[in-house]
Amino acid sequence: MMRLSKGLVLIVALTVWAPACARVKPYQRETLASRAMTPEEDAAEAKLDSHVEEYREGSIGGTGVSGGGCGCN
Amino acid sequence: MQLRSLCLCAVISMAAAGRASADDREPGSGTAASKLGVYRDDDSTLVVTSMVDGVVNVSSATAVRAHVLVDAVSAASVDVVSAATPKFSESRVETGASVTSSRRALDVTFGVVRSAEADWTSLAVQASLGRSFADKNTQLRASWSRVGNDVGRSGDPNFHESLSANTFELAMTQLIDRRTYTTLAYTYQRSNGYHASPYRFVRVMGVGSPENHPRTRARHAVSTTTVRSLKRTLAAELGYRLYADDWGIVSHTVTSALRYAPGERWDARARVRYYAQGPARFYRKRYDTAMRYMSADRELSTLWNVSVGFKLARRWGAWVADGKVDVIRYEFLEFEPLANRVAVVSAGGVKYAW
Repeated sequence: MMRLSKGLVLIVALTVWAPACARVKPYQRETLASRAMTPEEDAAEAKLDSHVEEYREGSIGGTGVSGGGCGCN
Repeated sequence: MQLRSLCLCAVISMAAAGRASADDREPGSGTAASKLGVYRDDDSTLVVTSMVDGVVNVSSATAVRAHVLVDAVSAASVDVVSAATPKFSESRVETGASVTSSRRALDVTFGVVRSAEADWTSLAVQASLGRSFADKNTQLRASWSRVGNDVGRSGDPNFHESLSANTFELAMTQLIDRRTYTTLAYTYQRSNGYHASPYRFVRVMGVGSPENHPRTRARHAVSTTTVRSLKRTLAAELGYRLYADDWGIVSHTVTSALRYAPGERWDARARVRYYAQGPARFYRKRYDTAMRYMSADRELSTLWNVSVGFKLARRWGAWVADGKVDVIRYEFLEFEPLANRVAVVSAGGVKYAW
């Protein structure tokens, strides 16, 4: 119950705090919108990289890529 | 139970807090891409992967995505040789589709992925919820997927096992200033069923025994990535991931990249990745006596790897062609049949947008 309360407080705090932390206005985002900063999405490359890493290492996560399983190990 | 509560809180927060404008998509627009990837290592394993992926915006608020992927594997690695089986070849076909709906800065995605090979089939369902706040200064995303696997063994029609996994991820992207943004993500996976390989055997006092892994596994990963513009055409990325599971494995991953986009036509990327892990609690380099859990899986041993890669992309109007190569060196510190391995992963593809 205590962990649930802490988790709830953390999520609410992050959600309230984060927008207040930095306000980069839309007209100030020219650099953030450049191709060097936000490269085009390459779903196929992300899936290929994730597949190589997950089936040749003992770890998962942090990539945001999910897919079907395989008997690859 | 606590994780479900955490995810529910995130969902409530995303739904209740803030409003921002939705992205407008032009109905009928989309992209189509094909990619060919080759993994080859000096442990006699070759994997050729081909993939076709397409996205169509069926309305200003809805996008449909589908992909087909084929893996062709050819291997005579130490796993195969130590199990006294001949070199094998097999193929895997994966198909997937998803629908994304965007309404008032809230994105909802549902998807399904099916994968099939001679001795393994799997079906996965996925859902994610994303929302931006404060003029898109902050983006939150909660994702869930469930995969069910049917495990067989080639040449043994009586062998049948199953493995299921639920994966949850919470991610936040935050603009720090005009030149920097940071992403923070937490991943949790809980799996139940057959985690071993029907083709790997552990030698105990000279006698081969099938490996036996625990039937459950709980995995956690926390990762962060920061991207900063160094100048208009150059950006640097630095990332770190900490992973731990209830099998005793702890790992650290550090990634860094430089992205260079000098004009409208060319993009280049150089990246370095370092990975190191400790062993699973029940993994032994050599088993002198039989234990309840035993493994011959080198990916559960103490290992590290480092990879260096380069990517180049070129634009011609609506077309983009790209190619990349990564060289990976693996060091296995507790795996007698193989001390190290070098792999080369290369890929190239084309993409068209209309």
